[in-house]
Amino acid sequence: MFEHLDDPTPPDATSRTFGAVLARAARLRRRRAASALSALVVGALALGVVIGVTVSGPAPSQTFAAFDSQTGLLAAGTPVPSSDLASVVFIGDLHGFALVVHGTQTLLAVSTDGGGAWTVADPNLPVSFPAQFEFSDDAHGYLWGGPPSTTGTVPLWVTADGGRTWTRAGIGPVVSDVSAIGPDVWAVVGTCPVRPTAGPSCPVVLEVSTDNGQTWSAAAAAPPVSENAEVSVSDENIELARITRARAYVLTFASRAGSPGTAGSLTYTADGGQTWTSRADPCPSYFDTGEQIAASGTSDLWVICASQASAGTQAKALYRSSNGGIQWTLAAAANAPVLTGGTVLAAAGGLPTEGYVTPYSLGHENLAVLTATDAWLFPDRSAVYDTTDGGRTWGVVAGLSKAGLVAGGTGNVVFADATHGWVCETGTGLWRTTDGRTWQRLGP
Amino acid sequence: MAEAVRFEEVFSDLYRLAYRVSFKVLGDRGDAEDVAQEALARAHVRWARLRDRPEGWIVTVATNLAIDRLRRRNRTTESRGEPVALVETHLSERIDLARALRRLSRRQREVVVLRYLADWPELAVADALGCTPGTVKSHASRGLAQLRHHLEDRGVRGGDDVRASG
Repeated sequence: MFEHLDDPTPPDATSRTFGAVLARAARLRRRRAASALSALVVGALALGVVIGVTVSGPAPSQTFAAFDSQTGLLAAGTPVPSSDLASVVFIGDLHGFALVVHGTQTLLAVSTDGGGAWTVADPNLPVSFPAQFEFSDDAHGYLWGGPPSTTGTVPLWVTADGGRTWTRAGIGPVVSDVSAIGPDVWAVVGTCPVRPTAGPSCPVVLEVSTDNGQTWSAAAAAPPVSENAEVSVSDENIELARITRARAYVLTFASRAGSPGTAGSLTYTADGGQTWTSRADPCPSYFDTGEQIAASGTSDLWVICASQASAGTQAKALYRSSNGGIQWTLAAAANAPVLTGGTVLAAAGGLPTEGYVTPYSLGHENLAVLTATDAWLFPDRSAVYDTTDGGRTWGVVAGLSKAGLVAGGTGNVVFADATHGWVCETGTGLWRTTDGRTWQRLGP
Repeated sequence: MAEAVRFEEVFSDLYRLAYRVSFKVLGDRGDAEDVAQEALARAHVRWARLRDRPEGWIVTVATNLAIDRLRRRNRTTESRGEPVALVETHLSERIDLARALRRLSRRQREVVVLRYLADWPELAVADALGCTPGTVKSHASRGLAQLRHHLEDRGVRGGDDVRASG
């Protein structure tokens, strides 16, 4: 009935659609919170209660409402409320960049005061959120990931003017991960376009630039790993963990429908990609959904293994290596036998079961490792956790909830150094620490 | 106890459902996508309460949003003095359908939209709404009668369809 009113070619629900829905949901939550706060204030005033808070400038709800209501392309320099940020990176304690979803555009915002104030640098980036981005200084940056093009390509975009303009790098077809140390930039590149259906895995190559991404050449040897091109968001199945200009790890994993276990692999170079050495992938096969790697030094590695997620929880395991991945030790686990084929890891306590890490955290790094003992974890739909004992025990960061962060959203945690860190809850707000302990909410 | 459904797992199906009913009311791809995204975002916010049977809630919200959107668009078009026929071929039919749907009770609208706009079988509608097939038949019958009444009055093609299959 009414078939003649149907769309003969309805659009598919893409990862971009999913990202847009999550951004809208975050805005709805924010409006609810603002409305509840307004009702509380009105109620208190009606009861004659004197509120001992000095309010200056527009309320957060007014500011984000004004920003959200602006349509079309925003002008460069337009103020962006911190409550609209989707993901942030910082290159020091003052200079930061953020992705912002505004209407149908993904824009880049910049801050020069440590995250207090943000303005539009580019109102319409060539990549849609969830995307990945990185800056090596206040001028040079890299943007990749997000939904593949209709031909399955995922390009890299390079800026040399602080994100105001972007140039497509001549590498591809699928740029999976990028890491810049000064002008030296590495990109792990898949050699097959992203496919919507199953197919053979494809080899990857390491592309190297020594001039801030202007020109590229393939490294002498390719990492001996392959990528599963059967993914919709390419940034989730290959990770490049670069330790120094010459040393790096490449981690790949592929969760294939109908096949238990991952096809995870880890490889290592100490000579700038001239030679590669395979390392053991520590994750047991029943963590069949994803892996995430981080490092605090040349030999200290952290790998989080993740299972399927269910009802807000996800089984996780953290493995540590102090000798560059030659040997691994289980540091902590969040056990959920129903999600790990009935197996329960021996590690006690440890990771939170709540919240999702890879691959559900589109466009976000969940884990920030500072030293061999200190790290931060922000699983999606969860609180922010930290550890000071090398990952054996994790606790909710109480200072963040005191500063107004409501657990349950999605976002990222980044640190510029041991004491300067930021937590961005997508579409909700931005929090900063300058001493590694206490937190304050920034901006409107 | 059955394992709760994750939003990510059913996102694509729910999005397609919301888009389909929205497009039938709106006839515009951009508007229908916008409504479907809004309905899914609202579902995400209250997923803990919806996740067992989200379909009925989704179609209700998507339909209501689409009807509101169509009403606003119609007002805008009229205020600009644009001839309706030039805007969209089935616009007047969609407006009549929206008006007829608005007059149904919430449950009748859920059943009618799932059964006849999304073209779901009775058993699937019953499962999605957590009621018996008999209840679906009953709501569908009464909802169709009202829909037929409103659409027949306007000589709408859907009214003929309702009579033929109802």
